[in-house]
Amino acid sequence: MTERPPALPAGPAGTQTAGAQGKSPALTSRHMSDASRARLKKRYAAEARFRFYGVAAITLALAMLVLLIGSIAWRGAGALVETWVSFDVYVDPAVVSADDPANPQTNYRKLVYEGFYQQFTPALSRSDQRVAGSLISSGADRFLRNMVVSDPALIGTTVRLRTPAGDDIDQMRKGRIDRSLPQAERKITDRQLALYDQLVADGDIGLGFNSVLFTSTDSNEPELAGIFGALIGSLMTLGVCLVCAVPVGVAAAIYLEEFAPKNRITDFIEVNINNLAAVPSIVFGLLGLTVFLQFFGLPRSAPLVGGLVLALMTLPTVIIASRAAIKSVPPSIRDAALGLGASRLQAVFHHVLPLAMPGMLTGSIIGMAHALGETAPLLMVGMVAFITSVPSSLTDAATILPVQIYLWADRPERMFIERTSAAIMVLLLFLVVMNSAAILLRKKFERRW
Amino acid sequence: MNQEHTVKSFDAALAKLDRALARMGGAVESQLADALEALDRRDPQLAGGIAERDSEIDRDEQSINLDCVRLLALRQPMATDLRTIMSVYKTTGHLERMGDHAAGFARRAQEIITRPPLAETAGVLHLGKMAQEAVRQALDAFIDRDCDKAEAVHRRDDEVDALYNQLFRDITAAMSREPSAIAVATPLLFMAKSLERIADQAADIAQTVLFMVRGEMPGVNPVKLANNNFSVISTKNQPSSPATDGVIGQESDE
Amino acid sequence: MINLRIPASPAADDTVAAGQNVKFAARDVNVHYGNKHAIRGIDIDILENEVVAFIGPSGCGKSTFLRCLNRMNDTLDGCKVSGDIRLDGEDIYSPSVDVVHLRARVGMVFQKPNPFPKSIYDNVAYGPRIHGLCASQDELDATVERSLRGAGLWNEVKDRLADPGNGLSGGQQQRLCIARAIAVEPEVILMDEPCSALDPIATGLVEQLIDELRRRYTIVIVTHNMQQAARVSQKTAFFHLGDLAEFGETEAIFTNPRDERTQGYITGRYG
Repeated sequence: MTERPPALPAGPAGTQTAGAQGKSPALTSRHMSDASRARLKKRYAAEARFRFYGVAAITLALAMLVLLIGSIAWRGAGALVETWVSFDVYVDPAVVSADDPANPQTNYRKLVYEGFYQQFTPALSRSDQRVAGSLISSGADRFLRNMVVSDPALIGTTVRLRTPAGDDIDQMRKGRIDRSLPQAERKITDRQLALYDQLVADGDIGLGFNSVLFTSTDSNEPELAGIFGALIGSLMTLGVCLVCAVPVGVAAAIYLEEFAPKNRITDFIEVNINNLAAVPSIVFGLLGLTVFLQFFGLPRSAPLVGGLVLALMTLPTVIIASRAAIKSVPPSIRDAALGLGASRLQAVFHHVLPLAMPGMLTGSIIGMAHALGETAPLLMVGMVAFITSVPSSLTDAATILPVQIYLWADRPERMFIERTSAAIMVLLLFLVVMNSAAILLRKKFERRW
Repeated sequence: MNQEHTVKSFDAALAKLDRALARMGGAVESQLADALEALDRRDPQLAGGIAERDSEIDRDEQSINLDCVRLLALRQPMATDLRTIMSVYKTTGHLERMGDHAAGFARRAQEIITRPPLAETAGVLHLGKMAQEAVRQALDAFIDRDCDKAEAVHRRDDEVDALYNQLFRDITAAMSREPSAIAVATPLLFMAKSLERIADQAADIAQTVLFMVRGEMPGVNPVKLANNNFSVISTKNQPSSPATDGVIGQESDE
Repeated sequence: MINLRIPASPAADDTVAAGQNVKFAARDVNVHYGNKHAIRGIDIDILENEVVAFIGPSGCGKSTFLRCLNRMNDTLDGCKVSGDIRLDGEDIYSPSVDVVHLRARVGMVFQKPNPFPKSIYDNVAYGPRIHGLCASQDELDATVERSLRGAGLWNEVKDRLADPGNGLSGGQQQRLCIARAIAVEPEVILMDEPCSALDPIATGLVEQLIDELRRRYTIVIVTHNMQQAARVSQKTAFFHLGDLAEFGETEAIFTNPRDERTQGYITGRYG
């Protein structure tokens, strides 16, 4: 072979003499014929085609995802900033009692509006005052109250109050209202516009970070509505779900995989667990309504009940994922432990569980992430409610993020559209964080072995 | 074992071994037959050619033995296969010795046929026939794996020894009776001895055949037999038959 | 053979020769997997300090029978064992026998090296720990060292006891598994094709080890490698389709087997 000249003639004749010495020509020619080459070409073509389909499918899916996230981000980005109005307010000791600034009877509203009207020169007429009042949020008094309550020394001084503008003004500031339209076709009157322009000229109005969104609860006024309450509600609900579903699910999986005899009863249970995983979530809501609310008499709208319902819904997922994780532990490890005289329990807890842990964690976290986004079953236990307070215990009425999104999406005010998108972004962020945690935990546990 | 090996080429190699051995045995047989005929017909030319054929037999022995070693190394034979190959290896040795004896016989025959014959030559020829028969039967027994034939060869060896002893006495008597005959009688004595040795080797081959077929050396305490899982325990408390555990196992098994 | 079979019931003790006790005595052992009759009426006596090899074609029941000896078959669903298996005269299938205790007395080494995904030290220390054999850390250290030395692995791993056990080579892993088994100080070690995944050098080391371990332990080894059975064992049992076709001195089995099936199997005429 080595004496052969380096340049071999291409084609079947050359190859045949080179490689197939001593073999019967019939054997080689079958794979050297033109027909064979054509078949080979066809096979490669099929492979190339299939790859193209795959790439096309992924591209399509990615495009859809980008479109979805892009549209949400586009609409929601506006909600991260809000239009704020700043003006001086005299905290009149005659109105605010120094002993009890938090008294609900205290008329902060009067102080706010008096201060705001002072802002304008020349002094506003009575009708103009009403128009001016619509420029700031109707909840502006709350901001003053919070300021004074947290620092009673302010009583008797003049403070600079920063309060959200009214929702229409906010949209105006963000350029969502076309001021060139005739007055009848826009939401803002010419008079409002004039006062707004005056504020702009004085530099008393501007965009700032929307802290309201993250610190307050639901409100009828879009500029005052936030997701804080829903976030806390979600965390509580998820906490209840985690505490109930994961230990029960893991324990059930361990029992079914390692201890239960394989007979008709366990087969039946297995089929039913798989079925439960596929049951529409609304059915779990109905179950929760019947069992937790009507039978056990637990409070409506409570994170406790919501968590329990979600736990019921997540349980099959956790069990199935945990069983799969346990199954994937090589039986040789189990044999090794048992062969050394470990008891069943020791074999499971010393060897099988640590190896199955990453899979179990992943399954549980994905189940939780699923539960985080679930709305339907919670509708049935009354978690669709207009809740303006942050829940302080598991039995307080609460709402959760997806329900909040659902509620806001229903509202007619324009400003709620961007708030909805912003809430979706927060929810998605949560999901991404949870899934990343799943991956990280898995990596960490796998690296240990 | 009428079944074939899973690896067919092993069967072929074993068959080739058998064939080579049969061919070598045939060569030795014809060497012996020719030597006897040369003595009988007093044909110096025939006798002269025999010794040269011995080197051929030596070559045969070496090539067969190499084949045996190769099979041992490459196939790691067990049980019957192992015993077959070991037996072939051993038998070629016997055959080679036989060839040497036949060649020696022929050399001496060539020497004495120039002199006046002795009456005892007939006895030697008769001994030769018996040795020839023993060789033939031993080889047949080997090729056919025939224990009955092998045992017959073994039994007949006593007759050969008796005849040889008789001849020994006759020839020595003739020597003392007639000192002039010593020049013929002495080689004749060695020739008779050669024939006796050949028959002895044939008996050894027969014994090898018995080992090859049965896995035991006749007359030697057998290897502890298989299937004695209970005999190991149970015979220990049967003081009446301490040495027969193998035999019992064998009888009950066959 | 039939006329020599002793009845199953009498205590084995008085039939035993001085010096070597019967460690395992099995009588009429049958194993069913569901409908499959995997083992049919096995009778066998395994003597103390002896290496017994189980050979036979795949699916002949040798591994199944091996796993009966430490009741590893208990872990399989649908596996039913009947008959009488006695370890030192005590029926290991009687309800009074604790299977955990039994497995401490009858250790096992598996076909595929299966060290725990833990450090070398923890692998060996696991058995003594769960059985509470060592009162102090020093004692445990000593046990680990003794076991690793016993498995001929100490010099190779003494400087990296904290390294993961599955980082070792295949042969080292298998010796680690043997060290792990002897750390529990069993009386019998069952080996299920311990060298099937090892190269000839590692196999040789394990075989040498088996020969050394024989002085202290009774060893039952299942192997597909007949040369290995011939090399390491004193007695060989040939299993065929669930039957114990032949059992006897290894020497006899490999030079002059009595049973046609054994003959066919070991000479490569198995059809």
